[in-house]
Amino acid sequence: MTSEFLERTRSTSQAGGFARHFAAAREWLSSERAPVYIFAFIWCLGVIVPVIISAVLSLLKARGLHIVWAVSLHAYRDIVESGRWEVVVRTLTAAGIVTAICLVTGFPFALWLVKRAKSQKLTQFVFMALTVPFFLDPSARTLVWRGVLGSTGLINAALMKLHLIDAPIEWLLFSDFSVYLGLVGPYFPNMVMPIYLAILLIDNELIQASADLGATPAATLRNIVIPLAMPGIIAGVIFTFVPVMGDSIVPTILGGGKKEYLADTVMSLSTAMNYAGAAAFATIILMLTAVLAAVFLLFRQRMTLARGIADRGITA
Amino acid sequence: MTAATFDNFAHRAARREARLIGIAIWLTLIAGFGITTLIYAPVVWLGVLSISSDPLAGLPGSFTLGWYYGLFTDTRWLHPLIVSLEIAVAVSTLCMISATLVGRVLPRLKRGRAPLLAAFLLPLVVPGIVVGIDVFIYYKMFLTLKMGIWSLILVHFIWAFPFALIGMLVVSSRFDVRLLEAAADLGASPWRRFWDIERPLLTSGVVTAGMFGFLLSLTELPRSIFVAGHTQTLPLFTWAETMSRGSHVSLIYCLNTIIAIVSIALSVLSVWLLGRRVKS
Repeated sequence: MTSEFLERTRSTSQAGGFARHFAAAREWLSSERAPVYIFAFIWCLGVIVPVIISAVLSLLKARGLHIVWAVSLHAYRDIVESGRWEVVVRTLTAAGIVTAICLVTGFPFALWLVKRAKSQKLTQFVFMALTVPFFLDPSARTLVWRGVLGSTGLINAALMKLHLIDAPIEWLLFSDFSVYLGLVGPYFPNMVMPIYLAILLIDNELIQASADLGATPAATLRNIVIPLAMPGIIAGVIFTFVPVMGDSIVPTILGGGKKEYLADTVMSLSTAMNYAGAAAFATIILMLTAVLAAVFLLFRQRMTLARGIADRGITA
Repeated sequence: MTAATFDNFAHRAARREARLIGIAIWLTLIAGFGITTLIYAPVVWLGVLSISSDPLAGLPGSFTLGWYYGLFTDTRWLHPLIVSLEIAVAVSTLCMISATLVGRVLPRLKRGRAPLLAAFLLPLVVPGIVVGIDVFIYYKMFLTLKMGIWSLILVHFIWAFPFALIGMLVVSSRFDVRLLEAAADLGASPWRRFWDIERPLLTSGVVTAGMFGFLLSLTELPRSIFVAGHTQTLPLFTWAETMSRGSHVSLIYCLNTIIAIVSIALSVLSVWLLGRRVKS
């Protein structure tokens, strides 16, 4: 980004002195791409650097707000010894289940939305309905589930009134079930949106051609639609899995504190002013994200590679 | 096998296939709309409970607007609301300016477009809690700055900027650069080119960026928890009341019903605005 600028200043520096430098800098600053690079620089300084610094802190010791400048794996050893790695496993399981539910329901829904939904109005309505959740207060809409699922909540009260049950169903609230239920809804749009956009780009003629050549709908789905929608599916899985893994609101409100999730742990560590420990967990969350992204990218590369070989096999 | 029986067989296979597809579509719709209901049912129920005379009972008995009148007597929510609005306006302004500066040029860049876009959209794949704790550690522990309104604005901006940028890019990536070249050929100054040609065409992107910034900031919680210091925003107020299991649940229901109605109206408006611009 600055190489161009440096090049220009270097070439002028031999001919003239400070004035030339100044003129070159002014010319670069007045170009329309300068704000983008300047903003990107500030962005990196303000956003990317904190992430790196936190990873560094997780390798140091901290006493309250004071940093002890000695390298130590103390924070990570703590995680293993205190049995908190169980929290990582539990969170990954929850995130995996929620993501799977969103994928299994979201992919066909996106496909229907693009290829089958009859009226433009309906598509727009659904699209709108899936955009609005990004702008709702997460704690307020989660809190209400307590009034629905609790032992005196809507569902239990209704079932008791209808004499379908004698005692309230206890596992509805403060259980894995309520956590999953609270997470599936808000993150469903994260899955549907990328897949929707990917399917939107698939040409109808390709699908028609596949049908004309005698492929069953299932074969067309497997060989045409899914491979072409793969970038959207991968983006959807990452956009769902990662925020679910880091969600701190739903497990706290609907989990009942009996079972800890990753975000609960980060919050309790930070409340206890164990910032090195919190940083270690934040770093673990980021690493898991990076691994997930890398696995998917590799998977995709191998798939395109395999398809390339298959294509060559057909033409040979 | 005679031709007739074969025809019959093919016909039946096709019918079975159509029926299977029909079932699949029905299952899809039930699941898809079912989960969409999971998003909106709590919001509707929030509204119902806010006018229920006993909000802690499972089945609402009688309805009352009394809790809403209560908002006038118990005004502890007012200060957090004002703080939230101040922050939201600041974030919205920052989003409009930065999304315009970056979004209008990004599609025209010849080099470095992909890595820049990736860096700007990065917060979308970083969980909020990680942003919160990382910003706290960096600014509070390493730079020893005092947390407050500015750090809330910062984390809200980090959260909102990718959305604002996407809103802007939806419009700006369809912008025809030849219009600007034509204006330059006709002797328009750079400022005039921006004001008379780009600005009118990009306005809906700017408005969307501002609305996204405003709404995302107004309802942001997971990042705020870590960097708020002694400042209290409205979501933090809700959160604190939720965690303390206080008796003021009806106040929370009323307040958040109003916020939800405003959020839904504004977001529907901004998405509609963007859709209209893209179509025309």
